[in-house]
Amino acid sequence: MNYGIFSSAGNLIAWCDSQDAALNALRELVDEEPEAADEVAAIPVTETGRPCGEAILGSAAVEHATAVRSPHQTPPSAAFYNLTVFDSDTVLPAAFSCTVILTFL
Amino acid sequence: MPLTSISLPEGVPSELVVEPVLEPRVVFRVTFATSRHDREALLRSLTSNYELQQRPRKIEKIYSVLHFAISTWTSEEAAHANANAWPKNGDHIAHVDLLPGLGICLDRPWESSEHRSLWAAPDQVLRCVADIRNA
Repeated sequence: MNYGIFSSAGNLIAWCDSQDAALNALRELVDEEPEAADEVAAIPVTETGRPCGEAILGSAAVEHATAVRSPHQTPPSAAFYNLTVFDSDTVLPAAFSCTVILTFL
Repeated sequence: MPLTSISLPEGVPSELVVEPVLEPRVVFRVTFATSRHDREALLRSLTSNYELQQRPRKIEKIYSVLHFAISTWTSEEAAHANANAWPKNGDHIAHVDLLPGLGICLDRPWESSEHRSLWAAPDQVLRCVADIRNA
């Protein structure tokens, strides 16, 4: 599927020969011009260049990239750290061990 | 240090053919104007990205002339499809009967393409708007 990338004024700014290429082009545009994230969009087109589906906004392309990032590339969230620190299975035995050692000292 | 050469990015054609309108041609443009008398909205929708003070992007960085162009369609159906795909482009379709002798130029992409880039002073294209319909 081909895509045309248009400005919000309706003027063509790029042709792409796949959805991946169109999403990459949108992300590059948003990287260069973050304020234009909702002012550029990729529209799927037929072989004659006629639009044939819904537009993908630049902002949506960036969100898509974030959503598909694999878990090991994602930095652990604050909730992850909180869960680890306050996990009773880990903290309580450790505290008990410290107490026992201090008692015998 | 200035660049001595660049490569064409993927998908960018190696040439762009621009031809003057020498005989009547018909194109369609998506617009927010609701009638031929809605001059202000029509003029606004007949302006290029350059005239809207947008910076050159993508293919406009290779072919600066495209920064000065507006997108039009050779069929009303294609213009409707454009408006439906992204309503931010407009909710009406201007039927434009291009007249020779006004300095209007169109690109000549591959034969079956329904998209045409158009160059002209907006007020000259305004004279050619024959009708406006809901998208």
